[in-house]
Amino acid sequence: MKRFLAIFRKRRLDRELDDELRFHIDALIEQNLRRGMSPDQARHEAQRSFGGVEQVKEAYRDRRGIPMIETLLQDLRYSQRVLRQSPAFTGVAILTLALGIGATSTIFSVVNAVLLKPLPFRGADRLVLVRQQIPKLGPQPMRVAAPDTVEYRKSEVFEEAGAMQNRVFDLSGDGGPEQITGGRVSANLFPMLGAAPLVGRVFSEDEDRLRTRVVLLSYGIWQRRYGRDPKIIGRAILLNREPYQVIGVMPPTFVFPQMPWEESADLWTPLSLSRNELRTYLDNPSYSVIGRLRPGVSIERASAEMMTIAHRIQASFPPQFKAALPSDLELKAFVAPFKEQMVGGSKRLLFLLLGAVGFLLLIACANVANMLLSRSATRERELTLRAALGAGRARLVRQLLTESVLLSALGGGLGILIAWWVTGLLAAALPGNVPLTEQIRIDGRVLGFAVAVSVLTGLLFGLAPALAASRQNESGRRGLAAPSSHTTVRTCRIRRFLQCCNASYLPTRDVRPWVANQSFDIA
Amino acid sequence: MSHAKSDVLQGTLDLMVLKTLDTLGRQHGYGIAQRIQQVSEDVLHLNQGTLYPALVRLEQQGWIASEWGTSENNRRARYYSLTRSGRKQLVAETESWERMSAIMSRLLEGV
Repeated sequence: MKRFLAIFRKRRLDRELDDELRFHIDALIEQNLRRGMSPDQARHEAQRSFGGVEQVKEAYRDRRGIPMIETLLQDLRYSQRVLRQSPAFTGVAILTLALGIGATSTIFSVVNAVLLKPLPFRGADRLVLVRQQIPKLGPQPMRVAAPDTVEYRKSEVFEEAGAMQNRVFDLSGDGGPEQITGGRVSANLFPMLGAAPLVGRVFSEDEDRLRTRVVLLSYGIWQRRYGRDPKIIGRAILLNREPYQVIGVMPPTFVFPQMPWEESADLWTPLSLSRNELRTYLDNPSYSVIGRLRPGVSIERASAEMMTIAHRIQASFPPQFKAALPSDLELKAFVAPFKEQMVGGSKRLLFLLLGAVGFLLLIACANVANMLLSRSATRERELTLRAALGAGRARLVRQLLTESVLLSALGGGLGILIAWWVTGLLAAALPGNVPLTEQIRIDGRVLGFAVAVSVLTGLLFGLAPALAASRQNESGRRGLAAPSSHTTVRTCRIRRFLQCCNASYLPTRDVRPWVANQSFDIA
Repeated sequence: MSHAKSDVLQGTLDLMVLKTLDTLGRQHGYGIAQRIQQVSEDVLHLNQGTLYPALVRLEQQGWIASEWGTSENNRRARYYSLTRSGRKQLVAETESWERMSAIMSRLLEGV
C-alpha cells in the first residue's frame, strides 16, 4: 500500500530523500572539518566516502515505488506524446478501431439482450411452453386446441400455468379503423409472468370467467394511437365493432408474446373461451399453454406428464371422431423451455452477425497494424537511439505495445459511444422475428466486453509491429544510419501477409448480403 | 593500506544495519554508517550512500520503522528503529550467519 501511494507522492518523497541525504553529507563534512581539513578538502572527502548521490537516489526510487506501474505511467506519457505528434495517423487509427469495436459491441449488446440475459419474467428459467406433435402429420410441433388447454393447465408439474391465443381484431373508434393483433390471455398469465401494468390494472378471474369486455393496451399502441392519453382508462374502444373498456396499459418493456410464429400483441383481452370453442376436438390448435414448473421438476418429467395427458385426450375423443382418424395416429406432447422457443430461431442469425463484425474488427486490426508497420520505418532512428541509451528489447516492445493499447483504448472509448448511439436505432433495423429487442442496452456486461475487446485488439495489432520494429532495431544498432536491407525485407513480409488477410476477406464481403438474406429466412 | 580494505559482502549490509539498530536503538542513517565504520575499524570499505536503498528495503519488509526527528545539532533527520519482527529477523539471520561462517572457517582451516 505504501509503495502504491509512493507513486502519487513522488515529489514529496523525493524532497524528503534530498533532506535525508544532505543531512548525512553535511554531518560528514562537519566531522572532517573537526578533524582539521580545509573546507574544500572536507567536502571532497565527504563526497568520496558517501559515493554517488545520484546513483543512490536512483536505487532508492526503484525500491520505493512499484517499478512496473511507474514504467507504465512513463510509457503512457510518452505514448500520448508520440500519438499527438502525428494527429493524422492517430485520428485514422482511432476511427478505424472505433468503427470495429463499436460494431462488435453493438452486436454483442444484441446477443447479450436476446441470448445471454434471462427473460424479463418472474422465474424465467422455469417457464415452459407446452408443444404437441402428431408424427403421422409431420415433425413440426403444433399448438394446442382450446379444450385441451384446460387439461394441460391442470397438471401437477406446474406451479402455475396460463393460456393464450393471438387473434386479429378490427380496431375502430378514435381515428380510422385498422387491423391489429390482439392477445387473448388467461387472467392469471400476466401476474404469473410478474408483469405489472404501467397504469390501471390487469384482468380479474371473474372478468375472464364472465367474458367481460375489457382490454389492456400495449405501450406501443397507447403511444401511437392514443397519444399516451392517461384518461384512456375507463373509456371504451371498439374491437370488431364491440365496445371494450380499457382497464390498463402495460409498460414499454413488456412485449408479449414474442414467438417466431407469433407476433407480439398490440392489446390484450381476457381469454374467456366460449362454449363452442370448448366443444372442438383437435380443431384449430392455435392456443399456447405457458407454465412455470414447480422447483425441482425436470423438463423430462414434465414432458412425460404432458405425454400422459395427450394420450388421455386422445382416448376421450368420441367414438365417431376416433373412427374418422387413421388407426395409427398418435397425439404426442412435451414441454420446451420458454426462452429457447422464443430465441432459438435468432441464435444463428445473431452468431452470424457477431462473426461478421468480428471479421470487420480483424480487418480494422490488420489495417492499423499495417499503418503501424509502415510508420515503424520512420521511427527506426528514435528506437535505435533509445536502444543505444540502454533500453532492452523487452522494454521497447512494452513501450510500443503501450502505444497500441492506448490507441485501441481511445478507439474503444469512441466505439462505446458509437455503440451507445447505434443501439437506440438498432431495434428497427433488425428483422422482425428477433425477439427481446426492447431489452437491448449498453449495460455492465457490454461495457466489460468492449473494454476486453479493446485491450485484446491493442495487443493483437500492436504485437507484430512492435516485435518487428524492435528486431529491426537490434540489427540497426550498428549505427543510426540507413536502415539495413534485410530488415526491410522482413517488415515487407509481414505487411504482405496482412494485405493477404485483407484481400481474403473480400469474398466474404460480397457474401455478406447473401448471408443476411439467408438469415432472414431461418426462422 | 587501501588494498587491505574489504568491500561489503552482498547481503551482509542488511544484517549489519539490523545489528547496529539493535545495539544503538533509534538512529539516523549517518549514525548507522559511523557505527559500522567504527566497529570495522575502517577496514570495511562502505559507500555510505548504499545504506539508503538498504534502509528502504528493510522498511518495506517491516523490519525497521522510520520517523522524522531532530538531531543532536538541531537539524531535521530521519530516525530508524528496529521493529518487533525486525528483532526476530535479526536473531534468525545471526544464527544462519554464524552457521555459515563456522562452515567457512572449518573449510578454510582444513585446507
